[in-house]
Amino acid sequence: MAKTKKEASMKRNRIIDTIWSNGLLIILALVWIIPIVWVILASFSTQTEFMTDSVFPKEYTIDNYVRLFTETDYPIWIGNTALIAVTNTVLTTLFTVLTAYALSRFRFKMRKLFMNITLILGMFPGFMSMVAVYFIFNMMGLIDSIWGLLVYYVAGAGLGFFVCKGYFDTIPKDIDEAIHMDGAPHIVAFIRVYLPLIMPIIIYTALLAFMAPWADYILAGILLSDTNRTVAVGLYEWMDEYHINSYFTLFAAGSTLVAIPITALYISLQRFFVEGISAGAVKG
Amino acid sequence: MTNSISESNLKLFDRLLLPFRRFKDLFKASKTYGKVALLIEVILIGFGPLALGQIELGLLLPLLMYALSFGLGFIIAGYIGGTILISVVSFIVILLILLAAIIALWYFTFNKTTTLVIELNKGENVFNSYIYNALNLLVTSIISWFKEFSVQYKAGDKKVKTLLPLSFFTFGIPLIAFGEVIKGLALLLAQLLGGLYLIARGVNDIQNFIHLGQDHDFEAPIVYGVIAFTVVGLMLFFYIVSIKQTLKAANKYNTKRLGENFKKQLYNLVDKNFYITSLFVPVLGALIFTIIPLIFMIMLAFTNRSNREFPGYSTTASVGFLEWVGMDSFKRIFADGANLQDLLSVFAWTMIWALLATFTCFFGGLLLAMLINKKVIKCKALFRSLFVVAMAMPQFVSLLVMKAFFYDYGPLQTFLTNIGVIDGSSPMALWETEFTARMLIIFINMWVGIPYYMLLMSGLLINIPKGYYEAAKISGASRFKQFTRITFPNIMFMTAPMLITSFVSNINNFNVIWFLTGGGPANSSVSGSAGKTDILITWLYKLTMQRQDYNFGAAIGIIMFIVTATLSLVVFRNTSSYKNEEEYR
Amino acid sequence: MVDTNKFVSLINVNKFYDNGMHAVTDFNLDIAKNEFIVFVGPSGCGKSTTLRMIAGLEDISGGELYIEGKLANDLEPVDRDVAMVFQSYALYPNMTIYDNMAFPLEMRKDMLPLLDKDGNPVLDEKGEAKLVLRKYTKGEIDTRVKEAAKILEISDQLNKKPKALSGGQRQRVALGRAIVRKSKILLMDEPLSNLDAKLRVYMRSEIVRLHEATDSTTIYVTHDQTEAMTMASRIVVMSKGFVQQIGTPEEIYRHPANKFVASFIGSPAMNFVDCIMDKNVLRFSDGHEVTLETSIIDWVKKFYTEQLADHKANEAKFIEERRAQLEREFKAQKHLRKKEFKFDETTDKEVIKYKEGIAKMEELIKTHNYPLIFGIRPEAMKEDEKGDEYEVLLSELLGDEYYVHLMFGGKECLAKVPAEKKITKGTKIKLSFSLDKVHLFDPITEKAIF
Repeated sequence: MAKTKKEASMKRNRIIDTIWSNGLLIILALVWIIPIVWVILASFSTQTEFMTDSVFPKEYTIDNYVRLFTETDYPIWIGNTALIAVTNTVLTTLFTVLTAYALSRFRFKMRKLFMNITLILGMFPGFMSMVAVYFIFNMMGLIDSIWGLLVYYVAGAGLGFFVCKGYFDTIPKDIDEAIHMDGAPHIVAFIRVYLPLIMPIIIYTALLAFMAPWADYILAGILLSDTNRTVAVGLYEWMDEYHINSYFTLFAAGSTLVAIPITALYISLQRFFVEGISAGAVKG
Repeated sequence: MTNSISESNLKLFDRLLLPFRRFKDLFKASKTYGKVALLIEVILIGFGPLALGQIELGLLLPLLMYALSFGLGFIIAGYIGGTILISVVSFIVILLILLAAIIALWYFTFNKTTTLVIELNKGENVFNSYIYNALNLLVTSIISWFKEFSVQYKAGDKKVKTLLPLSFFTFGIPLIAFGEVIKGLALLLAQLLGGLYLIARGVNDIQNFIHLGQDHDFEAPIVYGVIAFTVVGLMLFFYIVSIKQTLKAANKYNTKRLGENFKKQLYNLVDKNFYITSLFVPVLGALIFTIIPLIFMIMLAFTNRSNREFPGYSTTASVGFLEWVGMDSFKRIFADGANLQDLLSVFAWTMIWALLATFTCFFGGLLLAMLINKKVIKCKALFRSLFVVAMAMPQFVSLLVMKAFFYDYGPLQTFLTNIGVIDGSSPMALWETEFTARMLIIFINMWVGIPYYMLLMSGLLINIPKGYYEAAKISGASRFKQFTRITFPNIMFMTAPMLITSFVSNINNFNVIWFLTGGGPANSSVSGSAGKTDILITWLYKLTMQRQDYNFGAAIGIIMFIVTATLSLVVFRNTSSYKNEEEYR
Repeated sequence: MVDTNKFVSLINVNKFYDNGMHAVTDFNLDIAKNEFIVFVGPSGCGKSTTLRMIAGLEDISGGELYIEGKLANDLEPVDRDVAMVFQSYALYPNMTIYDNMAFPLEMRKDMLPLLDKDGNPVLDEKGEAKLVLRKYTKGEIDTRVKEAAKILEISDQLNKKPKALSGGQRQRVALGRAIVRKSKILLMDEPLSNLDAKLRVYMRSEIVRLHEATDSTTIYVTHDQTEAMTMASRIVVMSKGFVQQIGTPEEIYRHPANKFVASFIGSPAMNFVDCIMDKNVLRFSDGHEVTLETSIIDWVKKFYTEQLADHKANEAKFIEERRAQLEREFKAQKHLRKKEFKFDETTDKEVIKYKEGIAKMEELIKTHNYPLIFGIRPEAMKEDEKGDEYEVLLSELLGDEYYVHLMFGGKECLAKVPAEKKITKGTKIKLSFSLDKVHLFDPITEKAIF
């Protein structure tokens, strides 16, 4: 096994490299995972207070989960948010994709204007329109209705066409012309040829649309009352200084429950998500 | 590739200095008018373009430049004199940003002046006024419509002669008569609905909007006013469309070209005109729920709508009714020292935050992706998934969790106490100290944001041709050199626009700040409304939702918009994908 | 009754783009049924644009298009009974080959036999099937697709998707999709350019065979003159938007109408050498002389007299058209629209050239001294013991023949010589050519005199 000095030192370098690279990576992974592990474990803790002697629980129970469903409004929140999420996914994805298709495949007079206005609208702090929407919804009687939230989300669907459109733009014009020569109207082309081609981006858009209501605190907080909440608003309240000491483990349980399906969705659809981000980034 | 990137950087620098090097020769080569303009630009800095006939731009740019300079002077004087109490860091950041803006504006006017003088020397006419152009366009369009109208009228038979004049009064009926049933019906409907709305309440609403004077339901007149104006605008738009379409239909009728029957028109809605069907709902939605609310908020800034009382200013709380107060809300920014300090500090921190947040996540993600990408790491997928879990958790959950993690007597403190590093009896107060709170925010943002960039970078790193690295290794380049010469330029090339988009969106990153600190810790030294970690958008939220100082909040919102819009526009103008979208086709 | 000689007619067809560019000028052509017409020319000559106007993918800016006697300018492609094969094939990536070929049939209605409940055609008193406008049944689609697949030999690929196929196979699918509709007119836009050389040669004959088997009228676009020569019944040579010549391959080869056509058609290209015609002798720069028959001289004189008269008569028209074209291009540029359009005929290059041309021609006719361009194809130079001797500068062996570079008339020219003996640099060979293979071109207009 006598190798040259150079090979031996290269091998040694390699071993050192492996050790510190893997080591560093493990430490970083731990840093990222520990808070999550902590919350999950805390959700099984018997002690409901936040301030405890030990970092991780000493005794475990599923009591918190039970209380979540029997003693709090959590089920209502989950129900509301899930309902909005599902409907939002369908409607928003539909309108976003339709808008992207229209802007990509057609050339009409107001097209550049529409794109420019969308760009400018995106530069306003999103919050500004929400306050006005509160007043408008008040007048329309949509306050304290989850459908009000939905209407707002879907109304903005047309503004998020950017990534979808970028994808559509990569489909060569030839296909359009072949479809035209074959006698199919645009709507048939859209359903039978374009949608299947764009599947990864549609899934990405749908994923984002599904996730949005679970994370929206601002609008949900403005529009909904105390009894008709979504998950984001409800959980937030449990973590404020007044509630944290009694509600912390409930919060942990609630968060874990919410996080599981979403994380699962994310990981299984990871591939589409990456494709969506790269498309958004590289195409500018 | 590496050479060309450093070369293009060099060229950029040269290009930037070009106007200055050209100046002397340009001056010699110009005729009197050009010479005068160049001199004006040098002596009365910034007024070059105006002297050359750029009306709006020529007024706006120097105005802005001088306003900013004045502001800068004011801030410097206030800081040194002790009337403006902000931190050193804030002061330096504001100084730098304002100086950069002023220099950029000056550079722009200088460049514009030299470019225009060159054109002037070629004999071109350099006058340009947007207002003039718009008016000109309007007048020429109207004239051409009348011309076309008379052409079609003269060429037409009795049917045309009766229908054409009708088109001035009704949208749609002439179109239906000419066979364009769908267009005609749609326009007719628009006219009926719009007209009815305006008669029933629109006109009233506009009057209320102009005079205000409500003593309750303060928002109503503004909202209804904006809606009414929008309806008027839409009606005008449809009027123009209907006239144009009627003329086109008359032309078709006169030249006896095939029209399309009703069935075909319906079919076109899913074929040639599918874009109309697709865009109808989104555009309507955007109009009602994004554009109108936005205009409403902008209007609000110029009213006295506020539930707080300020001596010397009219507010709905103090006077009991709604009225227009012009620039008062903006004045309040400067008049009240606390407000100005709040604005400056919050603005400075917003910029620092956005910069740090973007760059830490971007480079952190890149480095992490490179680490995982190394040959010596097995189970790459496993590691990536672990980081993805952190990203997959709904953001507000992870933020609240991390917030709790660093609470007084929270797990971190407990842990450190248990291993004996600190004494557990007094709170760590990490969230109560300005510096540690800000540090934590950056750090936790990295925790949330790096996995996202890591995924992105992993995807992009694969796209860099291995050939570069092999060539570099053969010529003995160190790993660091490989990074700076190959990896970094390639990544930057692919994601530079995203970096800037990220920066802009971080300026508006409400969630991270709000969930972690709520903008706190509170600013106890001066009685302002902003906390030590507030960024512009969270401060806006506080002003509006908690202090109910609506008009002031709206004013801040407008300022925010101007800042982000300027940044974004500069970037998007130069983004290749926006310019080159035609190339894909 | 439709005049079958004018199955497709283009009358003064013009295409202007929004940026002012005049892509196709005054295109006139009558296509008879079952012809195989090829539009050939370099890139940018307008051949694809013309094809697309016939297809209905581009608007016709001026002129008329008639298909089977009906004015077709405003008709949708579907209603024109045309099928198209694209250069990039444009196959639908997410569908199987079967679905790709079935798609056109699913989308349209045609005059098909009326069927009764059991799927049998309803016959009238004469025993013929009644035709109605209806959609295709699944069964009919299946038959047609399988038929087309069989003709193109892709029957075993029907369940695959385009990305699983090779370039050549995809091309056949594109052809299949076009013939499945049995439309009367087949349009092909450079279908062979993406194939490798060998496949291209093979597919050339396949396409012609397909044309005959489907009894269609084919309009084919290519930049490859070999394809044009081997496949066409008639060729349309185009350049810069103008039709240069229309004719059978033989006509175009033997009697090119101008220098462009002469140089474009035929490979290797024709040799062009400047010479001066003095009485009945062509004198070259190296002193070499070629004696002509007197009849050619008269022909030349006549040519110039006619040309001069023609040019003089059309001078005003030419200037006006030039002005209009420049104005169109000027107005099309947005940022210049506000400014004034200026046209100075004394400084415009094209107008000056035109006027100089007239002056030159007048000069020529006066002095009887005609500078001409002498053209001869490499294959027309034959080995002849009694011919002139030339020294070989370079020889390229192609297997059965040599391309020999030699100096003729003071210019380096090419000759094709059979490879019976070895020829290298420095070899001396004797070549001659017959006068009826000589072409003479006017240097001013580049038109063929002879």
